[in-house]
Amino acid sequence: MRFDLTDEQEQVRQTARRFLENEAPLTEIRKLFETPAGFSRDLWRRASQLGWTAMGASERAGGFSASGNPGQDMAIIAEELGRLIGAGPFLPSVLCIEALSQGDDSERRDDLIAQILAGDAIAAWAFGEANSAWTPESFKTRVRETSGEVVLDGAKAYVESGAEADVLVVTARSDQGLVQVLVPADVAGLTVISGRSVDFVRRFAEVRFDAVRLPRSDVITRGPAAEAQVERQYQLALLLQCAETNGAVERAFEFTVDYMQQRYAFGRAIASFQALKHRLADMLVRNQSCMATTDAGLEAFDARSPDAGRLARVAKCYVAAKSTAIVSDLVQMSGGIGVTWDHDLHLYERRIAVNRAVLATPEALRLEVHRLISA
Amino acid sequence: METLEAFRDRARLWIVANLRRRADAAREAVDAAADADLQARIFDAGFAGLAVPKVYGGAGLTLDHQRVWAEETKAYVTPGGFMVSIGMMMPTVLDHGSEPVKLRHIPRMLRGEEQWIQLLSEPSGGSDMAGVLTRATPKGDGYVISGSKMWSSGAGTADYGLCLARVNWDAPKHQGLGMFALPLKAKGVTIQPITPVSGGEAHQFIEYFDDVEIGPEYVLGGDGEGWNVAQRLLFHERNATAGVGYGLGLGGGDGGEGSGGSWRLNLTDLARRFGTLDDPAYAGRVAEDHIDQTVSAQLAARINAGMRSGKLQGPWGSLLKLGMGIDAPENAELALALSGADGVIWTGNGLGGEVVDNWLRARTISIAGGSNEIQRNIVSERLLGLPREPGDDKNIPFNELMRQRKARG
Repeated sequence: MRFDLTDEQEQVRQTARRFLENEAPLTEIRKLFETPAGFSRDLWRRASQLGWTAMGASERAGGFSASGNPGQDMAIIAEELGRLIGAGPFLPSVLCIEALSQGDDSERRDDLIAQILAGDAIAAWAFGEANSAWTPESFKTRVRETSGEVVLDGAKAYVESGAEADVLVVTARSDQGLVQVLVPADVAGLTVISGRSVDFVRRFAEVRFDAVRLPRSDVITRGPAAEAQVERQYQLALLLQCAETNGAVERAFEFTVDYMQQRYAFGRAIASFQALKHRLADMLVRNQSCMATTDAGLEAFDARSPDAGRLARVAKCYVAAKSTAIVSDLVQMSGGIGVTWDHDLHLYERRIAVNRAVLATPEALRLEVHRLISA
Repeated sequence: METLEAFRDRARLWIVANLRRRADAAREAVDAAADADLQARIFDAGFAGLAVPKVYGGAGLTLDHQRVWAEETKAYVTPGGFMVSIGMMMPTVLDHGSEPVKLRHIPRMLRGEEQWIQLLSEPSGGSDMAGVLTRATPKGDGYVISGSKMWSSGAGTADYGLCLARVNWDAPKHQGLGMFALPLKAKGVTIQPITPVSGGEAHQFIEYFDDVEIGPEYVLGGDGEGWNVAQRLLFHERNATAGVGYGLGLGGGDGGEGSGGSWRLNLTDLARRFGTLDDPAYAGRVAEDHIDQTVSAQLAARINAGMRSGKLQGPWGSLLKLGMGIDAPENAELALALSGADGVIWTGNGLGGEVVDNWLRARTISIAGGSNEIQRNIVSERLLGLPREPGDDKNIPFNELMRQRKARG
């Protein structure tokens, strides 16, 4: 997180932290693990009412701004969610709101946006496809537009909160290029196959579309505008995911260091051994670097810089790779207790592992970075 | 006090009229005499030592003014040879020097007439800095210094060095030290160059002191204060290296935030030159280096912003130094990978190009100015608050420590 938060941003952060500490501590997250949805609708509604998802929405639709930089504002929430392995469809909600707000005839969607903001409607952002396909060029889900309607065929994978969704924003291809369509979850021809992930509370679903027929008015965006809007949503997704991972690493680091100050071996705190504390110093360098690159990416995103796409990918590559290495070494330093169910560290390992994979691995994104810099 | 905006306008007018743009002067060899001449012109125009009180030849402004100066001169040729003297030694003298020394020497440092360096490491030890064996013996009002120092950058041409020496051998290690401004051109000083690993011209030296006389006003702090003064010196060194504080803008026009890039090779360009840029076997690694380079600059910007705003207190420069020290060897190794045989074998009789140079010198960055391991101690102990390794060297008289070491063989 930045060092120069505005007073409003600082207040957003404090409110979110207090809410999560009081209402959704890790003991609650362990209970939610047992539930099919992985989150509580009631809790999500109350979190939404604090404005968590509203900072990317227009004022007309009920949104608000803490600093005029929506990406940076939303990252505050993402980071706090990371610190306590937050449950609930934060990322899908803000991505769908971004899609709905930027699409054609966005006024018509103000009511839906308001319902999402209130936590009454759950929206899922159906983007990736099977076999870790995360680039729109590779998508096989197709839209055919006829005079009166659009027909959707294909399947989306790794859809966060897909099984709980009331509506989905689906990214597909047509003969004219990229299309985003708003799909009600109860439409004929739509099948949701629920699933789980390594994360305790984050559920992903597969969603199949078998000749799903929708009115043309459900097309959110198409053509060249869609390319730009989808890219922007993807950048936001990458950066908020990074912010969440950073928060998770920061918190796991804090409690592991506390433990190492209290744990004694050979007559002294294990945190005094250079063999361990030197690694902690390196981790601090890496975690600070992760925050630096995430913040720089968000700044470019908010400024609509032409460089924002590269910087968002740089951030994800760096954050994902370094964070898994950090948390794995934190387990090592915790000793045997670190590989038990009752210890909290694995909740962080789980969140960081799923974030590493979702929206593309650093390995795949490095090749995109390579294309950008060698062009 | 002149506002930053007014200062920026005034500085810009002078810069445009008096300095050359960097692009126009690319590939010109840096000449020490020209560097000093340029520094003198900047001093005479009132732009040197912006945050230094006027009585010592400065402008009596603030470090924020210096930041503005660094921003405005970013695209221009500025002197590059005063980072140590003005960026690190001058503020240490400002903090701890006697009044006569400050009045006499700070204006000369600021004008580039005198070069000051540090004399800390010794042949017997660098990282364990408090273990110095150089001896300061009282003589008359002052002292005589005997012993040797090593790794001193720029000693071949410097005028003075801040020299850490042992005054009291009966006091514990850290408490018996003094810091002295030692005249390097005085009688009793012998200086030998250390040829760097990549061959070529020496930038570091070993100095032998044989009863070099020091006047009483050339002691910084008091007797037994040497360790504290050294800590202050290292604080200024870390800041200057990190591109904040008095060293900002003294890096030859890199704006002071060049720490994210100036020490590493751009491997995208390198891979393009050596024909590996589009080779799929290397694509991921080229990207990885680009990512590391980008993030390292972003980290420097983040930490600098935090230090400037005061949100970050403590030796955060060490965190940046450690980041560089970890990344530099990786960058150098990757350059070997991307350049292949043509990076390490060449025709003709030269000493080799940037790949070879970078590979051989990369470990300088992770050793000099406090090794990675020392920075890791600083980061973990002073930023994270972790306990020190227990040592048996802190509370017993230094000569007793020496006896114990000898007895153990």
